[in-house]
Amino acid sequence: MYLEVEFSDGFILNQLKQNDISLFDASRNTFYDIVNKLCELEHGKMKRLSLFKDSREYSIDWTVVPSDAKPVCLKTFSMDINGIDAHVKKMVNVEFGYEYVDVKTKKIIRSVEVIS
Amino acid sequence: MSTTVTFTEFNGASATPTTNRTEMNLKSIDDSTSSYQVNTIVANSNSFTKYQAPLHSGTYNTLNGATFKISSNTPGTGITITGSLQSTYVTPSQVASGDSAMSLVGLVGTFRATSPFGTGGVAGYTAGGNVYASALRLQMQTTSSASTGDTSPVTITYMWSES
Repeated sequence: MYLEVEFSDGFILNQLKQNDISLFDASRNTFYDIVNKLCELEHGKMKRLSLFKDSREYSIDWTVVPSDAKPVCLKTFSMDINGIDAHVKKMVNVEFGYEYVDVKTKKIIRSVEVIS
Repeated sequence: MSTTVTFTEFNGASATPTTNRTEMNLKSIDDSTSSYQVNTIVANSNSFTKYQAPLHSGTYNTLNGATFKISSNTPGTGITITGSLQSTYVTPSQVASGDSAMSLVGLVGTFRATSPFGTGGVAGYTAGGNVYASALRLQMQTTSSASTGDTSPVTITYMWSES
């Protein structure tokens, strides 16, 4: 499973190609760059956010989401400490989408798809 | 594309860490190496308390939802496995810990850098770098009716979310 972002100047940030290491902070991952919009200064606005998982692509047209929206890619894992499957990391699901603050209600609106 | 998780056990009076633990057998000795088969728990006594904590390494943006559960907390007649999440280390002993039966649905913990023990644990960790989740303390407590031999195996599971 990996993320990919396309920016307005055509630059594509691919989590796999970056080995999931931030372009700006080696102790962070690619999503850190994405959620903090660190590439936008050099490459312009995000145009597309995609999640590739199990040969499927889940894409969001970022030009139509609210301007203050933040990407969401929250993976939930499970790992047995002991037993026959000890230390086998299993992904339970991933929440993929975006969230933003509604200007009228001031509430956080979360638009995510839960992908198993 | 996610953090690496290993488990560290803490033993002795000074919480000596042993990294990369792969089992959590409860026994009548406070160490991370001896076989439970030669350090058996006599009926009507308890195992030593055992502390293990997950250690996350690798790159991430946020970590949250550190949760621990057990598949069964009564693995045999007269046998209960108790458990709690601890930010304070107490030298392991066979005195009853005072913990409740280990949760079947999940105990929710926190994250701390450098050690699972101490103050300042947070439910959602955003600072980056290696970080511990809460330490799980387990103990096997038995009554005089405890059956002999190995108990039914139980599984302890750690769950978390990360971005």
